[in-house]
Amino acid sequence: MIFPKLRMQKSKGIDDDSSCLGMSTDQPASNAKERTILHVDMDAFYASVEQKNRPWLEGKPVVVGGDPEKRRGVVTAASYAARRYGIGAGMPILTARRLCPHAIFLVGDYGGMYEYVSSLCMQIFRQFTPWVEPHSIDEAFLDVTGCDRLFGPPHQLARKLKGKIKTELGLTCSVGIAPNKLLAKLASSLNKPDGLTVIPKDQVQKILGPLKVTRICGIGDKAAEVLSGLGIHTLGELASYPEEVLTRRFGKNGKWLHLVASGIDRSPVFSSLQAEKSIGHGRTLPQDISGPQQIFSVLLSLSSMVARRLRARGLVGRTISLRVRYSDFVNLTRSETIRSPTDSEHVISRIAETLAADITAAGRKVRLLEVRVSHLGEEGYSLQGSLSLAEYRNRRKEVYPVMDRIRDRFGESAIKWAGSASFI
Amino acid sequence: MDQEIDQPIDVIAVFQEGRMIPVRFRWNGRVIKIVRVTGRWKTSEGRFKIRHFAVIDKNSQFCQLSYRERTGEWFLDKIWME
Repeated sequence: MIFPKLRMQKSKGIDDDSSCLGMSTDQPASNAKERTILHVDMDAFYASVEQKNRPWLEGKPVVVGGDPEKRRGVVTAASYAARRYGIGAGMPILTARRLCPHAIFLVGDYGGMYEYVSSLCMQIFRQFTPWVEPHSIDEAFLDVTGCDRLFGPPHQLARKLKGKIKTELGLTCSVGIAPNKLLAKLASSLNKPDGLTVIPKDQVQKILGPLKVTRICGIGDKAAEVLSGLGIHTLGELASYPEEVLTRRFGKNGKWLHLVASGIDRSPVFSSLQAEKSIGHGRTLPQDISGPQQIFSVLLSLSSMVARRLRARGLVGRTISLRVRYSDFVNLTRSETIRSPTDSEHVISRIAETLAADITAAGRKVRLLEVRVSHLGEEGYSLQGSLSLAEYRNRRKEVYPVMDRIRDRFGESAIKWAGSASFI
Repeated sequence: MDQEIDQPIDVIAVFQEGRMIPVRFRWNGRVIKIVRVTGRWKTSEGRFKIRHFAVIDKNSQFCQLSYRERTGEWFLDKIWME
């Protein structure tokens, strides 16, 4: 049960693959027949946090991005005043400067400030329901089915939640209320910033019908292009298209396309622990690279961070994925599933290296690398007798916890594998 | 734009309702009075916390300070330069 759409969301518009189409619909349905789902989306999150810390920036065009000197010259977030100039996430800072020369450009604080504020948001959400599924740093789904007695009808609950976010954190958010996650997310995007939108069950077709297919999370530009070739531009057209034809064209995703176009989504809201379907780390590199040794060094470093988080949670995983973003922003994703689940950075990095073997063929340069482990299970979940597991048990099992303890005490950079030190 | 400073500083702080609030700091021989804490957050350095503060001084200058629990030191991390 994987949610590729969840990981694709933030990079929409940049990613060039259409793997987001692979959204699974085989989730166990919630017991409740009529659900009430909220999607809370913090408005221009990074920019708003900066504006809250620097009150004189309020109402001004503020652009938060990476440090151009460290090759991270891309807009991470733009305030609504900046968006009026056409500035948006993922845009090169230089383009943003051309569009709005008088905007205030800030290098984002990626040392933990946004994560901390995000954790405070999630704490507030959990005051309303334990069923909170963080979707990204600034978004979450809340299942508030049956919360009426405590907080009143859903729109009243949403107003209370928005009020708390405003008074306690000085931030605004947009909330969508609907019978499922798909529609709740769509609803929150219909009225931003500081909006509150309800999609009642009996209005679903009327609201969805005229919308472009790309309004649905999981349908990217590439898929839209294919659909356009079939004469499908709106969700209404997609819903009335024969499901068999879609299935022939898109495989199992055809069925999903047909369902979402009709506003059907049975996926439950996972609370944060259940939602942890995969653990990954990615890094935008200080400069584009193409040498295998440099790439392997980064992969070992990323694998080490992933493995440490797995061990800290007592988890092991079987599927290792590698995501590569090239200098031209085209993405490539590859994965391999191994027989024996692992929490060893050496097993993970070895697989990642295999996946990365020819990524720089034809002289392509790499801008970002990400290593992710999925198909997670608890530590006891393993198949016996694999060479890698035996090797791990014999040679490394005493080293990892010692390294983990050193990092727990002195920080992530206190100790690292020699193989990961050559580039970082 | 922000200018990275990353220098140790002396700070006078008060404790109010369980919160640490920096009120004055000395940097480059000057004593700077803080009039407002606009933001606060925590990060970790191993098992130790680093407490960060976004503050405004009496000249409406924005500064970012941090208190590092591991060493008990305060740092001026960055200031806003027009």
